[in-house]
Amino acid sequence: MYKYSLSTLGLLVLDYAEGTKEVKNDLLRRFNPECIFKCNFGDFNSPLTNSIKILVENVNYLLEELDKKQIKLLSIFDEEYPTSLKNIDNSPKLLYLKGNADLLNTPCIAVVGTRKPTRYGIKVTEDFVREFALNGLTVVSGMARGLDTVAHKTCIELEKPTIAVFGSGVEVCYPAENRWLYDAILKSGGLLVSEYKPDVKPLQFHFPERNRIICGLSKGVFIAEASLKSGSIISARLAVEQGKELFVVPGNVNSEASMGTNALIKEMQGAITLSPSDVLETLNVKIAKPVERETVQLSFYAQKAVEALYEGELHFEELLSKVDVSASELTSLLTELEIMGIVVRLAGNYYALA
Amino acid sequence: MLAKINGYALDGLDGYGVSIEADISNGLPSYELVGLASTATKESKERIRAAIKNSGLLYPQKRITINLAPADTKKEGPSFDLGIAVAILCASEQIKGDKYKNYVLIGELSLDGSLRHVNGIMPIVISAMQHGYKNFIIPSCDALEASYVGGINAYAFNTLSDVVSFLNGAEAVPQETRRFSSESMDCSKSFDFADVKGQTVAKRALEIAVSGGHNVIMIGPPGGGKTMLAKCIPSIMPDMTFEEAVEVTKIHSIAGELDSNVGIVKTRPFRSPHHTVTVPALIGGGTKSKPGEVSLANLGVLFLDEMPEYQRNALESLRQPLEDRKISVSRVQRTINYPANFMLVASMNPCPCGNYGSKTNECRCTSQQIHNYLSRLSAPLLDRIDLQIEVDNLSYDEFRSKEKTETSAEIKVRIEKARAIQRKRFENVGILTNAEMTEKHIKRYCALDEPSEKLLKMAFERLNLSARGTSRILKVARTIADIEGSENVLSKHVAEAIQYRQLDRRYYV
Repeated sequence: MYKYSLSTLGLLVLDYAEGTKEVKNDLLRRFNPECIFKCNFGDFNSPLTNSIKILVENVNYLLEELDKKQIKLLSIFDEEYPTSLKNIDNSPKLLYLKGNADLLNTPCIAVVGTRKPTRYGIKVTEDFVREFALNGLTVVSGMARGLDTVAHKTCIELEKPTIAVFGSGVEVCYPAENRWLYDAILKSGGLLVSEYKPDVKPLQFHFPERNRIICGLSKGVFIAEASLKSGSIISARLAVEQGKELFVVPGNVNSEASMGTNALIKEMQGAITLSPSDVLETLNVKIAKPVERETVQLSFYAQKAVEALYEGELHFEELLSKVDVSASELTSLLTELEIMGIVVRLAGNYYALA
Repeated sequence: MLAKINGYALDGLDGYGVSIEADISNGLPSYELVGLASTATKESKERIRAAIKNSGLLYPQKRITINLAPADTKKEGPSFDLGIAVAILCASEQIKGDKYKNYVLIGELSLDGSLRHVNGIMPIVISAMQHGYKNFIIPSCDALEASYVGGINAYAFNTLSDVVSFLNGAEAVPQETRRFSSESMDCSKSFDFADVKGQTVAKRALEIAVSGGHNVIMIGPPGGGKTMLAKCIPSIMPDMTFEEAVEVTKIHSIAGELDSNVGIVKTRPFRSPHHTVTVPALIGGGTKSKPGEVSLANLGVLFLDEMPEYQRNALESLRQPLEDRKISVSRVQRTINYPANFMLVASMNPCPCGNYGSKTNECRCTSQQIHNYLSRLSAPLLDRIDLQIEVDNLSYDEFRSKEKTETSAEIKVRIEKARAIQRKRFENVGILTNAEMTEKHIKRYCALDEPSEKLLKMAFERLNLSARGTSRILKVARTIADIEGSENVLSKHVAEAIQYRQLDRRYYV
């Protein structure tokens, strides 16, 4: 009759019913969700049960609305509900999903980090996420500004699916400027997850709650950069509480954006992570053979430029003094190296090896 | 008695003859000026009476009617003073004979009878010459300006009484036509590229920009030397030809910005309006439809420092002049077309704090702040800027201070060469520089060989370039080829041009 179990529907009507969280939890303690959907409340009567009765009568309308938005439901009573999430304290009873729901049962890794990353944090996140994605891990993040966005974007560029867990409803894109990312995640076969009703606005207290799902879905949590007071640090603590692996990349001791991560490492020395293989080995992921890169014959000067860049990123002027060609020749040389994917151009006329 | 004098009025850069008619008849002494005179023109009544009296002549105590024909166009400014005074003197028979009929009279009168400066002498004389007038009487302080116009006789006088005695038969010699010699910018006044250490990319990009007349935007942190670089640009601008100088002078003359001691604009204009500039001040306007900064920068440089700080509508109003290279200033009374063929040089910070991308200073602007800052420049506007380069404040002294840097004069030689190639190429096309090429011209003059075509295609796929930039890249590649003296655009030229599309490629997380 319905494509969802009665328990799932019970949780759905409970979620939509009018009442505070406390009242709803109280009701859940008295009755199981199936009873709620069947409205077997016995002689118990409250404004909440009245509201539920009305909703049950109109449940078809609710389901149609969700179908129209292509939102699927997943309750803790369903078989597909990921075990890792089931095992945490306070696991969400009902999830709203949009996109490829099969991803939930693939091995996942959470990638979180600061909203204001430095160039270092971006680079580290990109490098690690690339390895995760290529070795069959599904990257879970929160689609927030900063490193979350970098993580999702890197997956999308590799055409690997990724999971975004929202602190708002799945129909609400937050932050608004990430609309393109929202669309791109869905288009690339990714998944959007939220425990809130589809149109719920992102409220401040949602985000710590959202973090527990991100950690819960994953085998481990990876943090490239986080300042001292950030949500990522909360995620790290959550990960430890939930018994997940924690992977933290050390940073510059002077950089504000690395203060949090460095403090974490000081506290939990096992968390230090220096390369993607550290993560993959700990999680017992078979490392796929790296794709052999085509070898290309570089011109004499191109070779010289590449050798100079082995030291690290260089400014155009510095390269110019090392390669010994004219500015215009070096400029066109660098374009060619960029197109070949050997060199990347950074902001401020800096160049680095890709 | 009745007298008719030739005057001339300007309407934008072009003009039309004004017939100044004076009728003196018996009746109560009065003075009536008809013919849609503006306030400044109407006030001439008092100046003329005093000037005639103080020149030892007689102001007729009769009924005086002055008509400025055609009667339906608004007459602006004091340039009719001399004509009206002479008309009154002819009508009262203090000037005899009809010698005056051969001349166009222009000049403002002072109360003591001396002739004062009038704006727009050069455009007036040129336009009047095209309408068949040949002889002019002008104030002597404007003599230099008129003397650059060949094929006319300009008689310059100091006072009204000089003019009267000339018209009564005295001899006078017309101004000699002057030869124009272009002058390079006085280097002591402007900055020289030799003073700028490092900044190789920026210097190279500016050389390309000036060679091809391309618009350029410099992005970089505060203190990076953007303004300094911009101020060096006049020192490498190619010299002006006589035709160009006349075109520039005409506009500066109308706007009253001409130095009457020189009489002609000899160096390319470099205009840098402050960021509080209003739309009419920038593109022209006001009740008189005066030329704005874009027209004053015609054939020169318009420099907008800290471009996102300008008013949004002021920036957007630049779109038409950047595309059409002229601006039409429309007001209720009239619509005037001014040329606006300028090279836009702009500078901006990469983010509100200015440190984005800097190696030494940390930028913690949120992506939203950066987005808001950058979005003050609309995509269509940025689309019209061919070169987008980054300028940074690396301390160069550490490793390049020993090296000799090129002087502006050396760079200018290469630029003149590249310009000469362009002039020759576009001889029968009607444009001057590569930047002015339309799609049709690009197809014809920027044909790519196979490797370049491939390179460009790969660049689009791999480097996040926006497709709108293609024609810009091709134009710049054409200029780079011209600087090298290469007939065809080669892949290395395209490769270099791609590096100058930084805003296209930047993305912020």
